[in-house]
Amino acid sequence: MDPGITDPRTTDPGTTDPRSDEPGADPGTGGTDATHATGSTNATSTTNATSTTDATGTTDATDASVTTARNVSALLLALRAQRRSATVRVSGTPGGTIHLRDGLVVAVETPGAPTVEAILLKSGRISDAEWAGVCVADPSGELRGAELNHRALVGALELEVMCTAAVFDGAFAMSLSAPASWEVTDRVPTLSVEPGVEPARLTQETSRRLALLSRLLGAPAEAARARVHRLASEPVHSSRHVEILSCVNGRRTPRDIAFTLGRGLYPVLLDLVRMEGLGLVRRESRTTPSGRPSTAPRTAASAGQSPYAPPERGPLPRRSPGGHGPKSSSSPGETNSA
Amino acid sequence: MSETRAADPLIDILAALRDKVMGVSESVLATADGLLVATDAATVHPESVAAVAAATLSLGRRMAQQGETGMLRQVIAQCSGGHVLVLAVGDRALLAVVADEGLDLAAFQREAPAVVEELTRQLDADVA
Repeated sequence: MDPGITDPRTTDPGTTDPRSDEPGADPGTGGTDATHATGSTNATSTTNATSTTDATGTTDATDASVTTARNVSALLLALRAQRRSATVRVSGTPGGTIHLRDGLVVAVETPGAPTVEAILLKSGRISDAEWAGVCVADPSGELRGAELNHRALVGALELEVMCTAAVFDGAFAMSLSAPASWEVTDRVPTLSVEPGVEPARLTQETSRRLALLSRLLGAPAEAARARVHRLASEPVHSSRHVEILSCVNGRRTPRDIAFTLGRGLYPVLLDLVRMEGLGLVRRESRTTPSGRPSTAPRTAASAGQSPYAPPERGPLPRRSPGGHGPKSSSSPGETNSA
Repeated sequence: MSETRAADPLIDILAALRDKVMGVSESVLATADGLLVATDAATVHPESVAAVAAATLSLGRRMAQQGETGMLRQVIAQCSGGHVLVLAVGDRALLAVVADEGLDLAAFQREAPAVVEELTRQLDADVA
């Protein structure tokens, strides 16, 4: 894709939905064309999203702002105002889970980006056995960070950096698809960062990332879902690029590469932009249509001409002077076969 | 051979599953007795996956029987680095799906019935 040809809407990423024109949008979530998860600060139309609060059941003014939130970022701001500790479950493709403590975002889990656990294990930073030990020591699930620190597996500062990065990366991944609906539920224990990220800052940073990638790649959602192919073997200098190339096989998307390496989606996308510039890789937008593939039997091209094809051009059948009708055939479709 | 021609739409269905569900990386369609029918895979060894998947499904059925938990729907192996799911495709075939740890399981459960139905319809031609 030519980065020079950008969608005019990408000039204002805060109000655009990068997925609205994506052919792969799931028809199951159709009708929710309005907002994307956290990047949107200004909902341009009302959604049919259902937002429910079942945690308190009270109906004061702040609760009303939660139930009437037009998009996820507005919802997070409303929950921040209430200093709620809760879990926001966003359904969609892929959707995700946003964990809040005192209204601050402490963790984001989504199929679109690796969690801290996945990053720690996939990158080989800690082993399976070590992680299993941590899980045994902390059955509640709330103190995994402290346990990792206590066992001298991961330093407190390192973990804070990783968790914060995962929050921003998860929010970015979720912003690539429009949420179908959301639900605010009770808090659920998870590996989280203390104290957490301000929702306003998260929204701002997500918008910045979307804007940057829109400028570099065109529609970021499409880029994140495109298959990456290796090009001719140019010399590769960066070890990160070598690492990425090792898992480029023409089938993996940037999101798949991020999971394979145990790195964030956004940094992988940025690396891929550079690698594309160096002529190392190319992206291929998916070719499958949005619907299911046809199960009609596919006939090979050799099976002959389609009965619906127009007749070949050429002179019409000619009547001979004898008056015995057309010489070859009465069908206009079969022309001068002789 | 009619067999190779019939495999084409099957692979399309498997590839479409990979497109539709985030996290799905490979899939293998096998006969109930573990012979490879069609595959959309790059890193796994499809014949081996087909064979082991057939054993897994049989074992899962017996497990369900022992547990008295009704009909088996699918077997999910949750691993440190991903998932392997095995589900029946009609009576004569099965589908094994390899996915990473970020698998969108909700989307998989949403898409799986339609995929199984399409595969079943394609395979019905074998006995027609």
